[in-house]
Amino acid sequence: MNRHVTYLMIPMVLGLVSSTVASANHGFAGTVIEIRSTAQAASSSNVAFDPRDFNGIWDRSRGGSRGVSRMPGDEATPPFTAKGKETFDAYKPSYGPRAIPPALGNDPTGECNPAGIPRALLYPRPAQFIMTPDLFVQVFSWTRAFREIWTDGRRISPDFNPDLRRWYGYSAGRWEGNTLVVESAGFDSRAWLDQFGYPLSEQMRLEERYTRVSRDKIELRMIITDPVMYTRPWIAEAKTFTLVPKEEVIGWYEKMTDLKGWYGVMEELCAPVDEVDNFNRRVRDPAAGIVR
Amino acid sequence: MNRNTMIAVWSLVCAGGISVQVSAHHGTRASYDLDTRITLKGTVTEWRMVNPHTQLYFDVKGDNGEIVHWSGEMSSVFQLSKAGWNRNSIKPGDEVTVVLSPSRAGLPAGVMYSVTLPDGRKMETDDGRENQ
Repeated sequence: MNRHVTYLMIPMVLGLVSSTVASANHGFAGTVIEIRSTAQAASSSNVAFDPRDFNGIWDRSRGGSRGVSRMPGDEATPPFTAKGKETFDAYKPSYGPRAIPPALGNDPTGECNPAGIPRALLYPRPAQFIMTPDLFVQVFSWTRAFREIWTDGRRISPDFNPDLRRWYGYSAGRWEGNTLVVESAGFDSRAWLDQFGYPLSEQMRLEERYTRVSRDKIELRMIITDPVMYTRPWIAEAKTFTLVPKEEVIGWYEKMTDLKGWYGVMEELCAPVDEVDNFNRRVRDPAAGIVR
Repeated sequence: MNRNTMIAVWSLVCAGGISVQVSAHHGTRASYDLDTRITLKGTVTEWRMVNPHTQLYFDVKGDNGEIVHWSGEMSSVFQLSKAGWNRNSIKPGDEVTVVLSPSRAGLPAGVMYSVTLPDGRKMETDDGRENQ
């Protein structure tokens, strides 16, 4: 990371920095969104770090909820369009105020369908971030999914072929100062935004802003713009990724296996042969009072 | 399972001595009564150390001799492996003591907090209830 040496700074400096984000062109006339970062200086470490280096394994279990909003339906949650309300009502989640037993619901992940984006980012499990000069790859431990974000200067066109929509979308990132701004489109509308059953359409565009606010923390801010489902953009609750030290990861594998020096996220894959054929039928169905 | 059997399950549970605690877990609340924990002694029929949910199947014998087959879910392989457990930690035939929150529907299924093995070792999870 020598080329980023000029960006090396101690966390104290970051405490003096607040980022103001003006996002336009979300398809909502007259809408101006401003996010002022609440990022605080890290107090735990004086170790220098490169704020443009996200390589590592990061844990999402500390800092932010598992929903887009802090609480489902809170004041940050935008009103639905008619289509959005209809779709939301048709989705039967197993979390939050509308929770019903999974066997009676229709959460796509219940039968190992992909979580998609942004839902995978919300799950409280480790993810590995891998950065190359042109590509930023996120590997999610939970469901063993990956996503690529091009950082080679390209931009995401809103005119994508809907036949090639993806659960994890198409993403491109660029730096604004030390914040990586990622724009995505081309999503598969069968995914849910979060575990509370908030819908998305193929027209959804997602903006993510990643800021390494300290050596150990990356702050993620998101704006979801989906005029098919919501009457205004949705500013997500800020989420935090916490660095898992490399030696801790290596320790996982040394403890669990005879692998020495192994580094990477675990494979927490959802396989239908386990989840659908056994767990759902033998545990979650009876848990819901269903006997097949 | 018919209603009589469901009643029998709860009669069995009640006869077996229940420890009821208040917990603050979340996530699977829709399926299980997380405000209730019961303790069951049973014989393992199968232990599945698989993702994303490990599963224990075991038979519980009531005072009247009736055998009730229970199913329980626990944390992911990752969570349990980090704590030192593996696929051979529990074997069919093992006599175990299980603490779980039971299904709201009244059938013999639950989300498990601990499994005490024949040698006294105790497999436990943290809240772990974020599993789907």
